[in-house]
Amino acid sequence: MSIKPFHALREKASLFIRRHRITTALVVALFLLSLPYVLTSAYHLRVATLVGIYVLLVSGLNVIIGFTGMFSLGHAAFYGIGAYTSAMLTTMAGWNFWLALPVAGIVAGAFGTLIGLATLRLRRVFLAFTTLGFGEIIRILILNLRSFTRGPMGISGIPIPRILGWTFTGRGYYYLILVLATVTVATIYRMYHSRVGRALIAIREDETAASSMGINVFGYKVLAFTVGCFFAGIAGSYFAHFQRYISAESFANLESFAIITMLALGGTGSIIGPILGSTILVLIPEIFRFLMQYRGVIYGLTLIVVIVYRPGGLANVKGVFEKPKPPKRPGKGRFSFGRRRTVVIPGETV
Amino acid sequence: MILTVQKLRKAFGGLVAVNDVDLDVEDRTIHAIIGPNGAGKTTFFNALTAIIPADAGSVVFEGRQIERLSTHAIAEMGIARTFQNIRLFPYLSVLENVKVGTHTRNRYRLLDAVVRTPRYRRQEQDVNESALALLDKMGLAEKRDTFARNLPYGEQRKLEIARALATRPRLLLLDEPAAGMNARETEALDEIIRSLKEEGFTILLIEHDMKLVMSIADRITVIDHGIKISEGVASEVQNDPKVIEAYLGKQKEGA
Ligand SMILES: Nc1ncnc2c1ncn2[C@@H]1O[C@H](COP(=O)(O)OP(=O)(O)O)[C@@H](O)[C@H]1O
Ligand SMILES: [Mg+2]
Repeated sequence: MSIKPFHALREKASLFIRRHRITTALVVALFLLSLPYVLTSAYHLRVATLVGIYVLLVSGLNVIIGFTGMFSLGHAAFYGIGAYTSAMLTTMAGWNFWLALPVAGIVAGAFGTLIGLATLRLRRVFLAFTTLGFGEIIRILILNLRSFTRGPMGISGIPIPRILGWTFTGRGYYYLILVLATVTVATIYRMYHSRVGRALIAIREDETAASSMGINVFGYKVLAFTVGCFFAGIAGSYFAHFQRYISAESFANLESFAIITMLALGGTGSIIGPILGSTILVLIPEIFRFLMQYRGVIYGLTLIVVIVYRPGGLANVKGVFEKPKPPKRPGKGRFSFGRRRTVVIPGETV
Repeated sequence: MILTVQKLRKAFGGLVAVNDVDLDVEDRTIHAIIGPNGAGKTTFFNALTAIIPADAGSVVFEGRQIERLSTHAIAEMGIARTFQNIRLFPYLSVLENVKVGTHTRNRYRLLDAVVRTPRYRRQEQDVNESALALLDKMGLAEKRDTFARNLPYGEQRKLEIARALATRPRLLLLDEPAAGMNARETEALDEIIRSLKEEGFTILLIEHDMKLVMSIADRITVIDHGIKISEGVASEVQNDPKVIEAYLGKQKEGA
């Protein structure tokens, strides 16, 4: 797989963007703001909106996997928790969408905190297994807690958001997800460029060294996990009110798999990667409609190809999937008194 | 005494790697720990910093018991360390590595960073300046944007010291900082360690390079098979028959 020309293009693009930051920002903003007037079909606008939802989901998962190196395989469960929280609050308790939205994020974040507290002290694989199982548990709970979730029937008639007496239309939905996605990406960007982001990446790179620098590894892991799940909850709430009907299938493990694939394709550990990954993997099946029924296959193949040929994804940030080079063994000191012991015990590498 | 260790003990199964070791480190001195490979020196550091929990013993740092604290809390109290098998953050730049070291010094919250409050800006500026100053001091300023893993060995060692210093520790634990360095680099390291003492740091140093140890250490502790066998100034230790027996004698026969 030749990626040289692509690499050169990427370098040029990133140089251009760095030189003309304000111009680039203006062009991107103008493009995104005018999109609903360019895409005149309601269907196209829906697809654009869907991309926005995935930007929230994938960026949140990026904090967990890409920054902190924790493998969560059940991100869709938190998406579902957000969606059901918001749907139940608005349809059954008569809440307003604008209040249900942040509460859905907080509830999903709180579930994230609990899972984190339970598993993040254990070895890394525990989180992967627990989240995988949690995804299934949530799906089964949704199907069985009929009095709250209406079981397999799903929840319908979820209210359309209103603002100042105006009821949302396709364009309104688009602009709302644009705002949510922008705020999410900006928040994560700023988090990344702070002591918190540095702590997370230090944990990803070497937990022991991180704790020796005074970083509370467990605390920051729980924080990162909570933040990622919070954004999934926000995405879920939005999705419920956008789709106006939700059921368990939308939040099954296959959905988690889609989110992971988007993250891997775009580039784990990068800010722009999740945006690229979401856009491409939402658009491809939509453009090639005949591929729609093979969505799962496309995701699976994408994931394999990316992991094998380009573990850093399109953005190609180093570190997440790379194994650090084993440190070169120091030559024996010129004046060493060391008595040689041939037994090597794994613990010696601490 | 800045550090008082009493009867520190750590066993791996049947192997007692650190066997009831006592150690007193005087404020603003360079204290060296020497001993043959496998003597338990690194394990002593690991137990001290709670990277491997000790089985028993008491550790008092600046008048406070710290043996029950976790690694990050100990670092926060003012003890920083380097590792015998360098443990940098390989895919962070040289500058970022040092910035991680400033973690405990700035106290702003996630929300400060997200909203970019004046508090965030002020502290980040300070982080940047002090990290650059440290790189300057270590002669790594030109490498600031290189991935840590791409540095040559000697510079990785220096970067680890810079990162430890970024925490502004009062006690600095160095585990074989000269290992793998050439003669010129070792000499430069000698200078750096001396200047750190001048600046008021206390240094606890594990080192195999005897020339370096004898020239800079104010006091030397010798450990063999997890047991402290000798302690004193350089001349005392060098002439201690126990040390010669356990250590220098074996060297001849092994070499
Ligand atoms: N994590 C560990 N598990 C088991 N044995 C260990 C571990 N760490 C060190 N050891 C053993 O403890 C003894 C002391 O090792 P170490 O502290 O590394 O010695 P030194 O630093 O003086 O060379 C050695 O025999 C070593 O093999
Ligand atoms: Mg050692």
